[in-house]
Amino acid sequence: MFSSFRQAMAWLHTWFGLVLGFVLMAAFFFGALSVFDREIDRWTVPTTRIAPQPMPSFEQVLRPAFERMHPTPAAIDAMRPRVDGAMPQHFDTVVNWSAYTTHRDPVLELYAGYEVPNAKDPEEAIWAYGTIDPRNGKALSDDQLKIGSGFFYPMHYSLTLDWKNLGIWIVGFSALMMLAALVSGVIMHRKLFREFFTFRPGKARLRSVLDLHNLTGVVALPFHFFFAFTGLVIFASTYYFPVGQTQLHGLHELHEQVEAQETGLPHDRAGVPAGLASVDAMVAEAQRRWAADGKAGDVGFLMMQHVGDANGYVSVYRAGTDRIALVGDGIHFKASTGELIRVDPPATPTGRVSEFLTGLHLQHFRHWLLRWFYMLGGLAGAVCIATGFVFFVEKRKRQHAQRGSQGARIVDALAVTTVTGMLLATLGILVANRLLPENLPARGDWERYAFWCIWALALLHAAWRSAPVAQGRANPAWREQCIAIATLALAAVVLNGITTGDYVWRTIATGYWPVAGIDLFLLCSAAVACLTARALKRRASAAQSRIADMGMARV
Amino acid sequence: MSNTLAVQGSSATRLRVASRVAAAVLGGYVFAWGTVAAVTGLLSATGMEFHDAEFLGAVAGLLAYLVAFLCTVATRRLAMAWLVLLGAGALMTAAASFVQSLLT
Repeated sequence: MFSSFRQAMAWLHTWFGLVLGFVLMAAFFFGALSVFDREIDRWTVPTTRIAPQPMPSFEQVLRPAFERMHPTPAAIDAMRPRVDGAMPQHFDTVVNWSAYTTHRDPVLELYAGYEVPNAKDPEEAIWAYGTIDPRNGKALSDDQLKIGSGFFYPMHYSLTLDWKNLGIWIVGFSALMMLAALVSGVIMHRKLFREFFTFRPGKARLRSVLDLHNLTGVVALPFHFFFAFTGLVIFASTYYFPVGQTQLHGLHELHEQVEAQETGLPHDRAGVPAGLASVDAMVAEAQRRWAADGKAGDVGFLMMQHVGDANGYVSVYRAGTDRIALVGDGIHFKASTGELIRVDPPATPTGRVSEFLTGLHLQHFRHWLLRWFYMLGGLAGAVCIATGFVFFVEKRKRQHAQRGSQGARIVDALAVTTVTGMLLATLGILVANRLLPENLPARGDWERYAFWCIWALALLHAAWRSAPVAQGRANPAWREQCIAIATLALAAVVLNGITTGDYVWRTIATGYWPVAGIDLFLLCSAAVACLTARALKRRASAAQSRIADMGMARV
Repeated sequence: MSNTLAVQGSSATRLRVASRVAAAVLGGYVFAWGTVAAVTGLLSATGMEFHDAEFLGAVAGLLAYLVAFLCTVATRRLAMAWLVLLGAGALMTAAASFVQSLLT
């Protein structure tokens, strides 16, 4: 089928890059936004615009908040098919309470798992989720969608297609194809290198597009490779190759038993009720031990297993703000007495590699410059993919115009939708977030509808305006959507000021960077979109006058 | 140019492309699963902690998938590619189950 390996790689790069490029664009762009997901949360939930808080006192804040939690009616309904007989309405046996925070979180996420007495799988618990203000334990409304961590972040790895984890598989396959595109791109590049020195004046624009494609691909090549790869590794044993849960379940069980023996952390309840010693004292003891090891002592994750039982234990994990590797350094205490059960030993060499790769992708560290580099790396990936689309279309549209084929036209319309359309949808959800009434029921759902509706409109607009591409000219939708981007970005900044009083000059003056940073980024985006629209207009009128000149020459 | 093959090709060409892509995607997955299972199983057998073995298995399996995918797209002998991917995949999967039966 192919006369050489290089030709096969070129075919692979072109076609898989094109088809999965649409998915990869979303993965890279929303991944870049997820670097600042907590900051986007602050922008979209104005009541939480407060400074990040440490893990609060268990006795004063967490315990009352945990005791108020209960599974939602929706969660109870979802569980119904997996129980024998009637579904209980109250869940009194707490399997697990846990609280999670990071150095960028002013709010605290709580999780509570309860035993379901007649569940078909006795190990399966029913879960309740909550978010509280850690200063006073007050619960925050579930109707407030955290657009950064609750929408853009899942978009990054699952496109929010939750049915049978379909989105996770699509993104995973696309990540594998990203790796294939990088390898095949490098193999193609050796030949392209020679072609760089071939002067082709008539194709100047094509070359500049290709240059940008190569530049953004090559400069950030290690970044692209490692992010696609670590993303796959993070999900591999849970979703893509669940060997330990299926084929090698026996080996996994064996390991669990050995581990329970070694760690002394009880796997099951004893069935004997027991009280709870001071958890705050246990946390203080854990912090004292970390400090003795010279490690930063913020608690990231606090967990209570078998609550109210004699086998109950408390695990305190460190927030890994001081290193790239995603570490826990867990310390475990007996819940009823507070006596130390175990200190997690240092990781094995393999474990350290695993922690490093996971931490590299998930970024729990505290380093703002590095965080911005991640963002720029992600955007470079998006530019690389976008210029790939443009190159595909530019290279073919004249041939297709002569042959009367619609191929380039369709690809171009889809490219408009995935590049400028995706930006419009993203800005649209921010604008909707500021415009929808504060107490609207299911407000988060409405925000999501706004996002998808705007994206669908962008597709319709791109398709409606695409006719010139079939004649070898440019689609005006690129320019028009750039103008719309500039408008929406400005609108988001202005609406944020009007609805919350946090005008951009005020947040800058008070140094509240989570919101000021997003507003400034939106303003920069508006400026870039304006400049792009102007450049596209100049180019369009230049092309127009060239056609007019040709017409004159013929006369 | 190869780029236009898939667009303009006859139905025979399309079938060849489809078969090649299927071999790369599905055959590659079977091969990768086998690699993950074999590496996880064998490293566990050498006494490595299960999750460490599982991690190394996933890394090896993903790299195996990538290499298998690229080679299958480029190969001249597609039938051979199907045979190697499915055969080696099945063999490694069986080896992993065998190791497990010895250990548990």
